Amino acid sequence: MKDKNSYNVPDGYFCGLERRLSEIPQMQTESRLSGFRRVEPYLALAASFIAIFILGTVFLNKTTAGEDNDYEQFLYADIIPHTDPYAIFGSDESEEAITDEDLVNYLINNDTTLDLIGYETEE
Amino acid sequence: MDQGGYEKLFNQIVKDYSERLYWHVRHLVVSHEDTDDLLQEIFMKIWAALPSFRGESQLFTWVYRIATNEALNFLNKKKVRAALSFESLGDNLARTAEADPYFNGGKAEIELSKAIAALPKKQRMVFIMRYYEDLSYEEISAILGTSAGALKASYHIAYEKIKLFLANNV
Repeated sequence: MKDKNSYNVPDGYFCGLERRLSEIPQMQTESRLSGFRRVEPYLALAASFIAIFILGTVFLNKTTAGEDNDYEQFLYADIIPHTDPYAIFGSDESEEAITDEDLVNYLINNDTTLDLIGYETEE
Repeated sequence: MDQGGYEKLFNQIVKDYSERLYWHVRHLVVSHEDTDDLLQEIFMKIWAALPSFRGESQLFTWVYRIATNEALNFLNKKKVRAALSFESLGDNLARTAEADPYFNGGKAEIELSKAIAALPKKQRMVFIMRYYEDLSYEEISAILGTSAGALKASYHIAYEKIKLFLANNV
């Protein structure tokens, strides 16, 4: 090389260089194997979190199954015939029936006018 | 080819080309330490790419192309780092040469490395490969993917630019 008097190298550099470069295939193989080993604990941790999540979801579903009944009642309310008001508004529990006096008091207390109830007076 | 075959081929490449590639890279990056680091990366890339080498080009051309690309990538990063310090690549390489314990050239050699660093990429490559490494234009053409005729023109222009630079600076 023309400029060997400008650039030089440490003594024995090229012998050492060949030896170091020849180790590359082995280094690459070892790093490929160790790469998985480095990731393995994180994969195990992620798998345990997923397992806990699934078990927790299953457990919660089993213990809260009864609470869905009211929701299902409401959900299927549309299929109850409209001609049966009691089926819509009634319940299995006994309750006091609404009297006519109750209805009158309600209407008066809510400022219901005669026009609204279509009351006709004979004149 | 099995793993053993690739290892054998790789070791042969190391034996045949490690020193040659060292000087090829050294002329570009100047510093011995940088060259040593780059060589490690270059040969790791060669090892990784060996299974995909199908013999479309000569092994020598293929290996040189990998080394050249790596050296140019390194210089591109160095150029950006130098620019952030308001310095040209040439000045940066000159500073590197002066600080390198394995550089024993004088002011003229430092100015020469600055002149080469100031050349456009292709002119720089063809000048180094022709002037320092005595590669033929056909060999350089196979490495750089440029016609031999264009390379001759590039070399001539690079030579004139360097002559002018040295006349003004040395």
